[in-house]
Amino acid sequence: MAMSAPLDLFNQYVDGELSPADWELLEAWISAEPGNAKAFLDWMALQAWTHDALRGHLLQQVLSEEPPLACAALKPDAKRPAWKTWAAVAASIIAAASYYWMQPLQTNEPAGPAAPVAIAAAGAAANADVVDTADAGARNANEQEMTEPNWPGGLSDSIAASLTGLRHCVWQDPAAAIGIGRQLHAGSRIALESGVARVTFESGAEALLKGPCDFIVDNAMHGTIRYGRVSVTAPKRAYGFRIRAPNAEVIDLGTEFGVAVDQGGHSEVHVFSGEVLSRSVDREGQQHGELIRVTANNAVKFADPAQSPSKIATNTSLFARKRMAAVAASARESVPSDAQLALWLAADASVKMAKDKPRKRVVAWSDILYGDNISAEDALQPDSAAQPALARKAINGRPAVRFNGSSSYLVTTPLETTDNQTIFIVCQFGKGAERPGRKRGSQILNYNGPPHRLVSSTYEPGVLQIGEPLAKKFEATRLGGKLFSGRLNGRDVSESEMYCEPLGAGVPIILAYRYDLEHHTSSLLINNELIDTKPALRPAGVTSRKVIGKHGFMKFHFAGDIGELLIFNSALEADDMNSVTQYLSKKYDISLKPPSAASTALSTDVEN
Amino acid sequence: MKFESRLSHDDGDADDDRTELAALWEQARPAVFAYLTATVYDFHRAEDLLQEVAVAIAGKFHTFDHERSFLAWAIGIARNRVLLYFREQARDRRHFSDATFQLLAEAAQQYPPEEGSPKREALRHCLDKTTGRRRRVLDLRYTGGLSIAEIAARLDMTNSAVKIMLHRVRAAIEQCVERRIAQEGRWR
Repeated sequence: MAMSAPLDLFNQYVDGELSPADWELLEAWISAEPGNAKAFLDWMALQAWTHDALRGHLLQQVLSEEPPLACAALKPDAKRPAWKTWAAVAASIIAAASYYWMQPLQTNEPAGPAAPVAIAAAGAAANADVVDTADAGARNANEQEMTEPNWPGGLSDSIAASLTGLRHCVWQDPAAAIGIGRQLHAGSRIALESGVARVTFESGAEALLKGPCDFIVDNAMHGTIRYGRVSVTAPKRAYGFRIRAPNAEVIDLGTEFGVAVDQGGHSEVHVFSGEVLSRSVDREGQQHGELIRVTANNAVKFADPAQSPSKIATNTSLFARKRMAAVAASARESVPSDAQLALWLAADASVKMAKDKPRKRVVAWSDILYGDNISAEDALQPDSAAQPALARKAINGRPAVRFNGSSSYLVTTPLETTDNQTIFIVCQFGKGAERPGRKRGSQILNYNGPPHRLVSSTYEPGVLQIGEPLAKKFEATRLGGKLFSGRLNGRDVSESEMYCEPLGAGVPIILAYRYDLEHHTSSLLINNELIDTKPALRPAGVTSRKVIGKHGFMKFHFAGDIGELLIFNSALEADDMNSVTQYLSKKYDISLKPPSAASTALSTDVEN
Repeated sequence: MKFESRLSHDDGDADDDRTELAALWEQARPAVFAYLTATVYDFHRAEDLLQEVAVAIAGKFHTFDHERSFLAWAIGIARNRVLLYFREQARDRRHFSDATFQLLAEAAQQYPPEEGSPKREALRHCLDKTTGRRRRVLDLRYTGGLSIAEIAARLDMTNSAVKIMLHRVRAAIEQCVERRIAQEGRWR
């Protein structure tokens, strides 16, 4: 007879969360009595079968989806609103790869916090007891005047992707050329004679299109390649992402793959890593062949519809592939590659300028792919009036992106950040920050980009913000960070709120803000000097667009320069903190406080 | 010799072999998958290993001694694959000792062939009744392969809330399956 099963250990084991000590406990329990191994196996069998059943259910849903928009578009009579297609896809795919603001589509639970700010503001207007109105949403006419208009082009349900990269592109129809940073509605077409275009889907999937090609963005989870070559990298949250070709379709199962379509409409599917499902289809989108599983380093060709696809040799050179950045040796030695780096922007390495006038305007600040950071969440600004400038000798002679304090800002594509984080920013305030009459603080980084969340309760993840105090403790050029945690008893609540003394204009600094929910502590360091520590008690993890250079939705613009910005999805250990700080210090020639005192304090903080 | 007798098979015998193998594998597969999941604690990796075991079994079936238990033979192959996996591909991944692997293999070998089907049928019924956020957490963990932290970030929950929810929903499903099987037993 088996001893009472330690279900806590079973759960931690199957979730990969078992501590070394608990491993020993579990092993000891399994061997303690003859029936225990069977009891453990029974429990694990139930989990395995649960996985089987759920996966079977998911695949059934994926496979029974309706044809994507592009296929429907081939038939003039078959018009279908883009949002309906996306909704249908989301309803089936969401189970494994839900995109957070679409959640209300498939649950009976209260709608999430994805309501637009305008609605949020109306709902919150009754609350007179306002501490810091900028966080929860504008509540009166004056406040609403300070609210930014929508992100260019708005963010309706039909936004499916963004054009995040162009390299030597010649468009088939110059009149149909699309600028970098532009958002792509469902049905958008990218037809190139030559060059490479990068499309980042809202689901997180990235497609690299190599000209000549003709590609349609169907929705956040679908693309259609009519002709040419596309390579796709799909993160976990884009599980089930699908590429349709004239005579085949490919369903991602967490992978990197390429699809090539020749002049005759024949398709090749090449899998670089992971696996995909593939099958033949006809031009009406009807599925014909059996699903086949294609795994890494394998390729198949769909030619004659009457025959099964044939196995062919893989040829990765056919496709444009995502490249990890060539990071300088000094950076490789200093920036940890295994600490969940999520975003890395450096003004000297990854700024893309607008091609049209005025020159020196930044249209994209590319995420440097290095180490754990394998998906590029670039910061974009397609609106020329809101593009920041590139100042080539801004911070001690190094380049920086310059924000004018009135209109310029950048917005990343949706970026997943977690409860534990470390943010580094090299920046300096400009003279505009010291102009008389300022009453509101500006922000350098805000995690509540469009579509803005209404953080209505302190149980939801808060909004991390780096900048000056917004209102109550405002003093120009005081710099720090906080987690806006929502509203409690009619009042806005922020925590881990820490600021340094006013820095003044033209003073370059290295800010490090470390939020460690796991150990309930947060810290602010300026130039390696520990400014403050505060308890970290509320969740911060969220997938959202990050706004750089202003508040999430208010007109609180930063006047100054940003040379570099790194976000790690982990609370870095003291050694790593010090290493990154030293690297930035040398690069930007910024003097640090004596490291011993700061490091000791942070080490103690981490251990506690 | 087995090999010689294999050479003497005509096409009809080969078809019989395939049919027999398919039937035996169908019965053994749930136990083999349970064993793999219990030892590598990663559903996707367990699935990959299951494929490898299936391929190995198909390739070696002509060496299978029909006097032995097919399940025991299959579990033996699975155990070797697991050991190879941890030795070559997942050196840094923590795993049970060889002795525990052996205990689990012995337990898996005792699985009655019919163990799977009523439980799986009951499980499907119980999963259909699991809806809303509980179902979403299950889907993200089991089919999406997301970690606790990733689920928490995706669903705007804390890590501990996700752990508690998974713990509870697993317990609820287990109880539901047991109730369902008991009810079906009464109806028969």
